[in-house]
Order: sequence, then C-alpha cells, then structure tokens
Amino acid sequence: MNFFQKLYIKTIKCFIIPCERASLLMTKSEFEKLSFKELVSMRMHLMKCKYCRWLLDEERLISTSIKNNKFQIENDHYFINLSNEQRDKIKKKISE
Amino acid sequence: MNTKDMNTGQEQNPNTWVDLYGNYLYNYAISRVYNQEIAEDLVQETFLSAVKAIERFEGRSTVKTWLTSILKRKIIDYYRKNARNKEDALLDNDQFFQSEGILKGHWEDSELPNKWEIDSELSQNNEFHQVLKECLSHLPTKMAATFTMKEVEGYSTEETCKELDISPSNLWVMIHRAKLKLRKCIEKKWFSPDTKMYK
Repeated sequence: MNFFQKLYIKTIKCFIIPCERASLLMTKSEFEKLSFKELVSMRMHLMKCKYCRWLLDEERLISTSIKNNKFQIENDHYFINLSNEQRDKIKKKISE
Repeated sequence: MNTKDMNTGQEQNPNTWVDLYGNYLYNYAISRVYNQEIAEDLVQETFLSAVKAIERFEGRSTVKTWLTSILKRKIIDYYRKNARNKEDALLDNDQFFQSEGILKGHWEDSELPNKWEIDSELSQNNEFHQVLKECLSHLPTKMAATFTMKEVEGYSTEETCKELDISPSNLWVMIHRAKLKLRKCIEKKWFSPDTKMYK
C-alpha cells in the first residue's frame, strides 16, 4: 500500500462514526450548525445506514407534530378546556 | 365606547382573566409540563402573581402576552425545582446502543428502528398529538425539561444550560435520549400492529 492509499484510508476512517454518534449529530443538527467534520461524518453514516435514515425521518415527524401542536394552541385551538369547577376554583383563589 | 375599548376594559379586569385566557394558558402549560394537575396549579399561580403585579403592568404588551410571560417563568421554575428528581436515573434505563465489543455504539438488535408508514397528515392528527403527549409525560423530568426548552420553547443552548444547570454536551445527550425514547414510545403506541391506533 503506497503513501496515498494509506492517507486515503486514514482520512476515511476519521469520518466513520457509529449509529450512536450519528444519531446524536442528527439531533444536534436540528438546532445548530455542525462542524465540517461532524457534517461529513453524519452524511457518510446516513448513506450507509438505513436504520439511522429511518430514525431521521421519524424524529422529523415528532418535531413537526410538536410545532403543529404549539401553533394550534397559539391560534386558540385548544385540545382541552378548563372545567367550570377548575375555573371557579381559580377565580375563588384570585378573589381571596 | 367602541368594541375595542370595551375589550381593553375587560382585559384589564382580573375578574375576567380566567374566562378570557384560562383555556389558552391551561393548554400552553399542558403542552410544556405534560400533566393536567401541574398545569392547573401553574395557571392558578400565574393568575395570582399577575393580580399581585397588576400595578406594574404598563400596557406595552397585551394582557395575554403578559400573562404568558409570567406562566413561562413559572414553568421554568417548575423545571428547575424538579430537575434534581432522584427517580430520573431509574426512568432512564433504556440501552439503545451496544456498549462494548466490536459493534460498540451500534444499535442493539432489540432497539433497531422500524420504518414507519408516515401519512402526510399525521403531524396534524389530534389523536397522534395525544399519543405524543402521553409519551412526553413518561420522560424523566430533567430530560423532559431540557427537551421542551429547546424543542418547544426554542431557548438557546446557553439559556437552557444556564436555567437547568447542565453542560452543553449533557444537553445534547439528554435531547438525543429524549428523542430516542419518544420514538420508541410512539412506535409502541401508534405504529405497532397490536395497537388500536394503528392506521
């Protein structure tokens, strides 16, 4: 193996990460910009690992659902209302 | 007096707050603490604090915004108070990845993700939201707090770490684990062929 082949393998190895690290980077990338090394490692991992690709789609669904839920509440679409009993209890406390 | 003035007058009257904003604040709190009783207590505390502080309300924002900001603070205080929950360690016992051997860091066979058949409307489905909320309520307290502050509230990493007294690397690990746990719980409660919810 010549020098360039060794260098190539060393460089590739540098970017190989296991699923645990890749999935953590997927989470982090949702909120922050990854470093070059992190980004390349994550993309390379996703190219070869179908389980992490599925995980990425599924975590995106969770995030989107949470955002939709938040949006609905902000636009006065409620999932649950205070009962009359709860309202009266709070009103009573306020007036005390 | 026009309708706007009447509404403004009503808004300034604490006796009308529960009827005007009670449901909003209640839903807001539930979507952050995932427990109806705790949410009710927080809403009550919010109204009480607002009544006490009404003299200081200058009307620069709407009453709704002002009450929401008080509730936000109450929710963070609740997180901080409960962040040292000793039961957390017991609740966080899932081993998603192999911890030793040549496959260290790779999925445990029993935890391998399955491919979900994701309907394009699913993220807006109310029943799915209920399942998601139930799964969120099962997260360990500190993990749920960290996840909510980042994912729901959109606080910066620095703010979240400061409020919950954790390091940035710990923050990412907790959000990561929270997502893995949520995914697992949703898979069990929604996507598993055994569950009633399966579409």
